[in-house]
Amino acid sequence: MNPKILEVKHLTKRFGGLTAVRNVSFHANYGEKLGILGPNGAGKTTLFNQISGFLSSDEGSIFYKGRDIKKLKPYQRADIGMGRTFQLVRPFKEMTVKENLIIPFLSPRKKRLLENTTASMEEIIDDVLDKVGLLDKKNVLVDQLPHGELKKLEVAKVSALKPDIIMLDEPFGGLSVGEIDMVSDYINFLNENENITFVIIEHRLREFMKLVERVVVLNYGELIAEGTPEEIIRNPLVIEAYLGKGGVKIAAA
Amino acid sequence: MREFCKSLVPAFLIPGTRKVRPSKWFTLGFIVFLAMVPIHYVLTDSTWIVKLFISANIFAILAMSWDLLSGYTGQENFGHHFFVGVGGYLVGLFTVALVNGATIEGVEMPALIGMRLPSCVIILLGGIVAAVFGFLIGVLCLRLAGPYLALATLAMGFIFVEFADRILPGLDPVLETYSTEGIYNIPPLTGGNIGLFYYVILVVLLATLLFHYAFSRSHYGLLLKAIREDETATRALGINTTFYKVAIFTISAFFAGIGGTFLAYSIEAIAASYVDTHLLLKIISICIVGGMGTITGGFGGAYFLMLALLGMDEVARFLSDMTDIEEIRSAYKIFEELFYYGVIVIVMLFMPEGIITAVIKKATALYHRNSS
Repeated sequence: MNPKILEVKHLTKRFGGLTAVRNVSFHANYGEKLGILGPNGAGKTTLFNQISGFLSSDEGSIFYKGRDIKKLKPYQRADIGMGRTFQLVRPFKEMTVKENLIIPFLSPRKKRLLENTTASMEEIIDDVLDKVGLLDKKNVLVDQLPHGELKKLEVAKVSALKPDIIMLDEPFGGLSVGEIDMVSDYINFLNENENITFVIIEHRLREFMKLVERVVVLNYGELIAEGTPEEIIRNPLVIEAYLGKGGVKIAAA
Repeated sequence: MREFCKSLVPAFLIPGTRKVRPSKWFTLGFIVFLAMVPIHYVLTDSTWIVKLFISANIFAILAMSWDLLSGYTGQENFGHHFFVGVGGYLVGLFTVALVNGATIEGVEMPALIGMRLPSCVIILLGGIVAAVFGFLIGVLCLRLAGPYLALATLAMGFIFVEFADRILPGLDPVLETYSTEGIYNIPPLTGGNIGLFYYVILVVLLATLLFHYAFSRSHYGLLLKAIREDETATRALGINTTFYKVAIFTISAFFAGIGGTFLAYSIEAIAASYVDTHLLLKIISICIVGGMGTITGGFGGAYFLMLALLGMDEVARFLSDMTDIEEIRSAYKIFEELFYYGVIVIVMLFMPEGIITAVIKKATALYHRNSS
């Protein structure tokens, strides 16, 4: 069996004169937690948008479970098991937390999956909310939630869809250390128990490096490094990208 | 006492508030009241009250169908009068223009179609044809949102008005005889029995209300709300938002078409000037008054505006009687349309959630303050 659930080959995206993503190739294995690192403007979110189908690609191809998904629309990609969250939270504001979680249950994918289970929608929603620590806010209007809880709601929403791969765009942004632990635990839980592959963009390096197993680094739209978190931290190219040319010396000192 | 007070709050007008359930007693009482309206006609033999309610009920149907698409799903459709016009014109065509022969320059011309359809078929046809147009316009305008969608649909509305006004009469000499500047002398639906006509419309209104209410409470309603709040996020959850948007365009157009047929039957005529942008603005102002995105708000808004206009009419009558100045009443007629547009501006500025929602929220807040 092909070990790669997601494979990106020579992906390029240009916005006018700016090349946001240039000839990027990488892959994610089944059950892996892959991190994508890079300074602001490196093209990480653009890459996510291309993979999930919200942006078209100028060049290159994307394979999901060995299948070229170039022609699939975003909802079709979600339907075959590619879930994602957004860097800026996108909750359904005038709805309660529970109602927000009902929406993935109305998708054809979830309806198909539910045919084989006995658990009711209510039970699954309660379970998901419990794991991200939002159970007591179940009937609260999303409008009234603080930012950190909205971030958790995003993760809860996409996990309720039960995708095979989840792409998280800065899931820790604006979260406290305690909240980060909670979300990390939930990601690990999904990864271990439901075998969901994760591709994660994040800036909070300390927590991030503990969570992921392998990292690819983007800078100015190009892939500059790939390796385990330990290798990446010591990689001169990565340090240079973050701290500038003198950074390697400073980091070594 | 408290329970009784609560039972009086028409919660079905404000589905946004979750705690107050729609009171069965209020709903039942209101339906009984509506059912008793024709008694006025039986007792006094004057038809104006019944006609007023008929008009309000028709506008409630139109407003609810607009709100389903534009308020609730957030797809600003400014071409709703297109669908109303399709329904209305189908009535005109199938009861007058297509089924009657005409004498043109001394020559007897036969009717264009020799068969008269039953009224219920025409009404249903009005809904279905409007729904087909709703589907087509929905597909055409798929990629548009916000002001672009509003402009595109508005243009569609203008195309219909132009078609009805200029192109339709030119298609055939017999059509020209009947449809120049509108189609008149549409036979009344219930053979002139206005009480019966009222009940027919009441049943259609309640069916529409029930459908919209049940829809907004269902999971599909939730889905439409999600599309309004954030379409991108909804798509990311594996939902084909395009399908739902087109479906709701079609459903909204269906009810607008049905409303349009009744509009034509109630006026016993249909003309391009009845279904132009003035009609659209009237529908929008009703929704704005009732609260946009509440679906059933259109129902409350129609009655509210009807009563407001009635009150203004009475005041104008009173003033002209008092002062012996006839012009006050005729001046009021001119101001009636300005009133609709004024309402839009004022409500948008001061009560963007709608007059009725604002008043009820205030009343509920007061009630809770006093009782706690």
